[in-house]
Amino acid sequence: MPKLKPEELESRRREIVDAARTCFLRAGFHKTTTDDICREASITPGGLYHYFRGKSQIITAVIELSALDIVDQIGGMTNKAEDAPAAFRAAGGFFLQLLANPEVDTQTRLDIEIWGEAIKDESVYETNRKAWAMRRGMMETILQRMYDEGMYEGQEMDVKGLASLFMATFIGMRICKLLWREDFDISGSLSSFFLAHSGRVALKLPDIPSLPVRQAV
Amino acid sequence: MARLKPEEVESRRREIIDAAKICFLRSGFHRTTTDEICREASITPGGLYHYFSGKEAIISAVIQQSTDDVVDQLRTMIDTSADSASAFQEIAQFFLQMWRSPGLDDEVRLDIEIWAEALKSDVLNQISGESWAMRRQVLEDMIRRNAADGLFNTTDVDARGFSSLLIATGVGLRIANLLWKDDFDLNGAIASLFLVHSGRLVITMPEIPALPVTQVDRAVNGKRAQAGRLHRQADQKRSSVAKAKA
Repeated sequence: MPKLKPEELESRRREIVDAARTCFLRAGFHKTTTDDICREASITPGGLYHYFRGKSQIITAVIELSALDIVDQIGGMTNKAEDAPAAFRAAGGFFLQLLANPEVDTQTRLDIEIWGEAIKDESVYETNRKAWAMRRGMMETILQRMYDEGMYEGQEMDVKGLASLFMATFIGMRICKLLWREDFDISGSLSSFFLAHSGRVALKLPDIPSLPVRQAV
Repeated sequence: MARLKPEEVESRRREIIDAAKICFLRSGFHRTTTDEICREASITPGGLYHYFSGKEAIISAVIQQSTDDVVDQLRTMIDTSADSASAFQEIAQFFLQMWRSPGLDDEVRLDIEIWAEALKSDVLNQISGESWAMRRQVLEDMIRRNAADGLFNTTDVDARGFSSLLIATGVGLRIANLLWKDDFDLNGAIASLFLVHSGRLVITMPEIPALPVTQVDRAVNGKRAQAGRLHRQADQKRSSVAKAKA
């Protein structure tokens, strides 16, 4: 193999990861072979092996890159926003567009396969955990800014808890939308989300049930 | 095979389902063999085959049985509580208990395997879909009743949309708690959930963002009738169970 400069290596690696992502989204993780990836990336099996030792390493790189891409995109938009309401509108608009795009179902399909791997394979589990921690970290930045600039009314905010709730809700919407599309009302759930989080629809609850829900192990 | 009375057939079937559920939770869907289920249920392969044609039929029955159990419990809480406020308290406690259960992670692992299978099998897709639709319907009924009884700050509540939001949140919390561990704050998320939904922590939002209309909306509108059918079936089943108990 001819000697490549570090930046060439990096860009070739990125091409392979993009090609692999295309294959995984098209055929799923299990049905994609390393031959498929070689064809898509126009590389020989020997060349591929120089970068990745197998499918598990490739999916790990795909998970990392997908998280970096989305955090870059949303981070770029929200950092540019002049104030918290503009950042919130940008991030909110991004998620709404994402959920309206039929391709999100393809991504969710792949996610479910990845989670199936994650519960069997420690390194996939760790990569997947870190990838979602990055997304949650970005969510925390946005929520903290909204709080600091006075967009929140009410009690002191637990930013990690609230960001965890946001992330869980979005991931749940994607799953429900893919798997139970006949029953699940995605539009209704999104408008309910905004109505609840803006206080327009709220339960009259004199007492909040006592937490924690799980004793420390 | 000795001839069994219908109620014996039903109770034997239930025993097999319970045994299969133990196996699936212990080893996962893929690693569980029908031999393992036979051992757990103390039945021969021929005997098992008399009740179920194979692993997919067994997992389908496990999903349906678990759903019926949960839905029956929730319906009973709603039917027997004094008013909608206390029904809500009971149901909230039920979910908080569920989060405390040490077996939760095994259940979610099995869910992930079932969803992956449901993407490949129409039968499982249908059964998994009906099972979550039944859970969502219970929540929809509860929300509608809460709204009618003045538990919300408005009477204008889209019970279907709200129940969809709650189901999505519940599913997401389960997944995130299993897969993100310390990077996910379950207690904080649930505390925030109650703060948000009781109006204690809200965003100043002069306008609600416009929602893009998707193909999903059109599909959903076309399928309302089917959800109604599921609801009626659940009601009929419930009333027949209630009659049987009486």
